Amino acid sequence: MNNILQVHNLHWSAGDTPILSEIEFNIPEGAFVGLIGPNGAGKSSLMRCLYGVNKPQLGSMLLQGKNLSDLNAREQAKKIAVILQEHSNQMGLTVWDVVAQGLTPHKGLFEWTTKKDLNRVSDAIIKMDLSNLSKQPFEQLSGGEKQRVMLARAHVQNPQLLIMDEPTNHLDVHYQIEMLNMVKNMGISVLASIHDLNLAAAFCDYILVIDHGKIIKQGSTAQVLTEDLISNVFNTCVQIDDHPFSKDDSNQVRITYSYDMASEPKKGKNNE
Amino acid sequence: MNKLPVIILILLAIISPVMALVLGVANISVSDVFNIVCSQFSDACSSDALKERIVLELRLPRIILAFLTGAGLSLAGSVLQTVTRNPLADPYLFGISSGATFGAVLVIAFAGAGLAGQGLFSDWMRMGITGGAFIGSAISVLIVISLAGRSVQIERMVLAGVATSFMFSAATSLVLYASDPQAASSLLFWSLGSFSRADWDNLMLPFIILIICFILFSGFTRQLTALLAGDENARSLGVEVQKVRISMLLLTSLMTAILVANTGGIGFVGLMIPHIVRRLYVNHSRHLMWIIVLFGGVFMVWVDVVARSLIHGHELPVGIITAAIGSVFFLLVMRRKSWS
Amino acid sequence: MLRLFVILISISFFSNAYGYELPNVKNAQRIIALSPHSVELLFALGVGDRIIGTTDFADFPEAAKDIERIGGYHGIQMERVLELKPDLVVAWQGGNSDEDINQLESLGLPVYRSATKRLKHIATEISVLGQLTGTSAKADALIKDLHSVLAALKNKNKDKPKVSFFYQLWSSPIRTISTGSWINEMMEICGGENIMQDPSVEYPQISLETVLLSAPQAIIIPSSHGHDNGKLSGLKWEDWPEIPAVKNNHIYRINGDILHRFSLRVIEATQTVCETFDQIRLVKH
Repeated sequence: MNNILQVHNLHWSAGDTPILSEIEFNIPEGAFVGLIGPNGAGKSSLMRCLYGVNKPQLGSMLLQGKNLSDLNAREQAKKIAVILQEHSNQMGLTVWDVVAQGLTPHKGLFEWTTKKDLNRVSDAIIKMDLSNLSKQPFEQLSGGEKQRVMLARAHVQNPQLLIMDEPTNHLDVHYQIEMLNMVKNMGISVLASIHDLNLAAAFCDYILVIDHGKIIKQGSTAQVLTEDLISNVFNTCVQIDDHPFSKDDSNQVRITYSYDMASEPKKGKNNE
Repeated sequence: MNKLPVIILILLAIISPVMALVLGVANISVSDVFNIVCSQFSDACSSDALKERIVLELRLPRIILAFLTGAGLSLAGSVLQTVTRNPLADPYLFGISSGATFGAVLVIAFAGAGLAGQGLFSDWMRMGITGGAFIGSAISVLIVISLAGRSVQIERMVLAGVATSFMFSAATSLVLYASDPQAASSLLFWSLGSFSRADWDNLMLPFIILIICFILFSGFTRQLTALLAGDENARSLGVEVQKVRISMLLLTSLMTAILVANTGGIGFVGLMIPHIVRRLYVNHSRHLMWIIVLFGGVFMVWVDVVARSLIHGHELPVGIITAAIGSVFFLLVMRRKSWS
Repeated sequence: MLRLFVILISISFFSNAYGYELPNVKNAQRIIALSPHSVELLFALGVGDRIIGTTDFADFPEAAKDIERIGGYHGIQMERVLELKPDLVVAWQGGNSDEDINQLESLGLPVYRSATKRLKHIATEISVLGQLTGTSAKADALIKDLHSVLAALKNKNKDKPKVSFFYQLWSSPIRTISTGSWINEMMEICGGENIMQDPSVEYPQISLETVLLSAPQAIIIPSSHGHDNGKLSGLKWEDWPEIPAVKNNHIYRINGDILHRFSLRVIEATQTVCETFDQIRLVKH
């Protein structure tokens, strides 16, 4: 399987403070890759490097063999779409307008919006089940609806890679599952940071674990999500077993946390 | 249903200037206006010479200047609100207007004291005021950008803009203080805004700059809309956020400076019209720029009509009317959610 | 004596109307005069040498320029006023700020509020200043002279044809005087007829259109420092030959200092205005 993204020896510092170092991973084409790690580990910083907000001091990020640093914002945006957890209120723009923002990288400055473009926007709206909402102001939607709009926008943007920074935050269980299923159905390569380890376990093909600015473990979901690793990284006692709803052919696991702060993890952080 | 508000606006944009030509101190009827227009193209019509001059040389340029000013300030306000995602942004917030006013007032005060009585004075004066206004506004924009930080953060920009605005207002007050009472009161009147200086010669520059800015802003519509999603979102949609923001800021300041130089300081329009339009014209975002330009223009034409006909024979400063009409209208629109 | 009595009654009526009493001063020796016109009137009464402090624009007569400046349009240096120990302060209601005048009074200084609004108030002020400086006889003579000159001018011009005029106080924006302004009184004496007949605002802003429509025979431009002489940003009268004043080249500049001050120079000003109107009538007929 080809790798759509290859990240090699990436370093990034905010001013004099090193945040990311020796980041090294690949994203296989069509895979759903989860990025997990405790708060402040560097998940968002890493993603910002990928979508061009942070400029890495060292290393390379190759998207289909092309160095992302050599591409301008518009060329990057044609290949990578981003969904963040927080949204600005879009100052009165309707759902339709926000979905149409996905056209931005594909159109030149003075280029007219064509019939084809309009159809693309309409298709995305239908696909994400937003038809009833398309004339409503974006700011009046619920959190789950807003994320569907973002997915529709990403769909219009038609990228090779979709980056999502904690997309299921603020969503209730139903919307969390709905959202990630929709992403899965889009069939594109995804890199998503996810706080809920059970969601990660259910939806990710591969998982990267980041802590203190370094990738400390990567591999298939079953390889990475082990009791030792999770207990260590999150400093919380966990138990992992087979998911009761799991079908026979998948190795989906269930992670159970101990909610007792007094109980020490089996292996302390000092083992690192 | 959806198209009705747009059709109403287009009709208003056609009817308002004609109405404005008819309303005024001199008693001029619609048929007079028709005869005057007709006599420009054919010998079959004849019109009263004085009425013709009043309509063609006083009222028409004035109406056009009012329209251009309303359209330009509204457009500037709308673009500034978009690039800063700040609903309170207008040329005043970034010190653009106060910088321009200071430059213009400085030129008027100094030229008034030093060059009084020279020939060709008014033409030099006009150029001087325009230049002074532009330099003033450019300085304020430079200050705002240089204080905005390397990443051009909006919050810092707004704070820097407010501080710059106060700085230039203080400097303007200082010039007014140093001028003698007669000149000071005239400068004060000037700073409240008026279209009475309109003539065909000074329409060209505002017209050209409005067209250029409109075309450029239209070209950047997608970029501007993307900026509403937030800086990181916009960047991920392929927008060079900093470059777009700074160039839009410079363009709006150029446009504001040229308008301020010709009309004096007219506040509130740039803040208010974009909000009114966004509320009344939901679901018209693709044509929003056209709508804002027409709405702002029509609004200002009527403001000028009120300014010159509210008290017979008197002229009221336009700035007072925009604030008075505008704030009431604004409150009404906020009560009624939208037309659609 | 009767005349003095009448004047005194009118003064007391006048002062009561403004809600204050005249200061109890009979022969003031150290005077601070806070307006150019009060300085001129004190000099006319022959007591100009008693003025120990005044404001920025007091420039007439020549000797007034040597008086110490203790304030201007924007305010008065209260501490310097106290230091000078005046026995009379001639304040200018409307010219000085109310706060300043109130403070002078609350500091216990003898303050006379000059509240000139009409032409006749010049005589009132002369009379009061005469009383306060012990020069009432001189004051009476000046008032008599003022009245007789103005009455003679009025009489001489009352049957002459009216001359319609536009008074260009400022050009950008166009501001003028209305019939409600005291300057208009001088114009009326000479048989002038203001195109701005609405007296509600004394110094209204009007449009060029109004001037065009009322077709004035004369355009009067008060000229002095600080005035724009009609050239500031585009009032080119020569573009509008439809106006009789422009067509006949009847645009006159008259010294604004003598037209706009409540001093005895209004005699000179009125004479100049009357001569100007006479010239216009001459050309017309």
